Amino acid sequence: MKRRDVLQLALTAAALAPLGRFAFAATGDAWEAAFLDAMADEPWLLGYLGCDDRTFEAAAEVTGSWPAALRGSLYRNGPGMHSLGGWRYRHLFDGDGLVQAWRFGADGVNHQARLVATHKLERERAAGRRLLPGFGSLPPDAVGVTGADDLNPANISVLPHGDRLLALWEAGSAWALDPKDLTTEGLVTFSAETRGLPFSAHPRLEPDGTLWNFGYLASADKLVLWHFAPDATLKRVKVLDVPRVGMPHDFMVTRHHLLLLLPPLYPEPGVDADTLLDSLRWHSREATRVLVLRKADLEVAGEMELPAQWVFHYGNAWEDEAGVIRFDAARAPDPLLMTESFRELMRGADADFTTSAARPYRYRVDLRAGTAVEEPFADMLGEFPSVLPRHVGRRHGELVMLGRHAGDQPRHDGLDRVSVFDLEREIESSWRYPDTEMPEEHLPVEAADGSRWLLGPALDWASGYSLLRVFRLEDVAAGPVATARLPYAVPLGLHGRFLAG
Amino acid sequence: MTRNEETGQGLADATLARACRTAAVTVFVSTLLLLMLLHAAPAAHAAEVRVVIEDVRSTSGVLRVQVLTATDAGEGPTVAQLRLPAVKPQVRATLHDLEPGRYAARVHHDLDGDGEMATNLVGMPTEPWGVSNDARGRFGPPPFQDMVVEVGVDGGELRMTLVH
Repeated sequence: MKRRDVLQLALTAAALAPLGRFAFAATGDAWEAAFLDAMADEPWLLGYLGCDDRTFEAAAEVTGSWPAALRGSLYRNGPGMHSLGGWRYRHLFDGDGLVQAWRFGADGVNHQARLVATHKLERERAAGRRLLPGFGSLPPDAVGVTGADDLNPANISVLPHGDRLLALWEAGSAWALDPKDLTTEGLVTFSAETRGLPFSAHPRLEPDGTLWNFGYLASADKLVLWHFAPDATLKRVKVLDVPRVGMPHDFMVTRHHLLLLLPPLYPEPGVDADTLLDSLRWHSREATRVLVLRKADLEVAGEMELPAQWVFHYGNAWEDEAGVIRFDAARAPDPLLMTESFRELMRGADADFTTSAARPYRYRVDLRAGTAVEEPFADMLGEFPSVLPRHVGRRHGELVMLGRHAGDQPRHDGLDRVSVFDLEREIESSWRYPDTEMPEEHLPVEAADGSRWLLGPALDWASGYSLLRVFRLEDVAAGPVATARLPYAVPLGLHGRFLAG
Repeated sequence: MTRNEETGQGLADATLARACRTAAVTVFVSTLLLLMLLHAAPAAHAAEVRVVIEDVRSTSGVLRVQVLTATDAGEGPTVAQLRLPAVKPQVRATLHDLEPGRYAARVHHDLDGDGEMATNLVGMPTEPWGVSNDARGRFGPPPFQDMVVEVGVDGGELRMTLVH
């Protein structure tokens, strides 16, 4: 990124106040100071400032025509609190999980957000400073750890599961919250033999309610597979030995298979690194493996190779009558966005957000022939792919992504539009956000009457408030039919789930 | 593995006179805690060592403590194995007649009393455990040298907080 000579918009103290009580306080931490300094020139960095230790609650101001049938809750999660005791995390993925609920009911649209009271946060609150190492951060005088859950910030995603709401990280256990008020109930143990096993942030929920998930143990080269019945009871767990499993972030399901890519990013044995991030090495000459597992016995059905690539997120996978699997993903050439840019972002440094950014790709995996092929399907940047819940593991007609076209020049470094791809007709429809807004993951959802909508959270960094837009899934280009605006800014989040009702 | 049917008895502050000076009495098996059953030399000067286990959250099962000597190379011979009743929130015991020197300890709260450390599917302990000095690794087992406690002629203390 080249620091642009943007018109410096006056961020009022009122807009900033909810985000950080120490925003302008003197601090001895060079990263905290550097970030605040950079934000004066690049006000969109507000999205990454982080909140302080507080809860959010407000009724949103709705403009436009909110669809009457669209009732339910959009739950979201993401790293919320980056700084504590004047010390700022060194990586975007380390902030404490901030779980949000946007509730659409008879009384309008209400918002609530609360930090997950994890073990680590409770210990650090008591100490008034950071104690535990993170994925990419090592605070001064950090204490030792006894396992991954010691540093679990529960900050990536959410999952309504039974009568609980789970806050998910990817290298440790799920955390249970009360969906009614987002208070933390505790660490989730599904069974004695699975206590402490990793439960990734991207479980796949099939239309019949069957839930699948995976987890990785990068240092032990193991892959955990989880299978839950529609009533949320645990049916099966299997641990597989997978050499160089690395840290896959997402996976897919089809009618008969589970599928994931294993990019060649894994911890270097024997490296004495400060953090897990520092121990990772990118092996650009090695293949990205395609691992296909049978649902029936949770054993490997095939392993194919693709060129080295980094994929955070998949749209969806499905298999045809001949057993050929097709899927789409946001494909990056390498993991530099995570290993470098999301580190630099935390001190507001000029970082390249485009070279290693993901693009929309589609894949074809033929198990019988043992082949995997890939191709780009849209000439643009694209991330946060998602499909309608009814299409998970089935043939999907459309795919939603956040994007950025070659000609787009928003006054921030993020993606600036939401695109809906009609995969049958190969048509992209999109709506470009105003320059002063940064869109977050958009989810296609179905209302109780079957009408289809697109839920789009975003941050208006110029005005200092967060908002949620609703689009007609069939006509995103027409722009939002309604917008719900909050009286405050919430840190940019990662992933969400909609629960109708 | 045979089930140990003994129940915890005695006071929380159990005094184990001349406990286990020569060899292990109880078989102490766990994936976390491997043993070396060796003979300790008689002491020229006897010291008293307190064993303190903090944050005991259940009265089920027993606490199994291994006390071992430390050498420059790492773990030395085991000098005592204690089997203590689980009392909330703290369990204390005293070892008499230990030779002054360097020692370390490990504790396993054997909740189901089966004599084994329960683990999850990948071998991570799922019963409470602790080590002296509350030593912690960064992403693995605690370094042994961080567990070492100096015991002088006036005695010493091996303090462990259970990890749950």
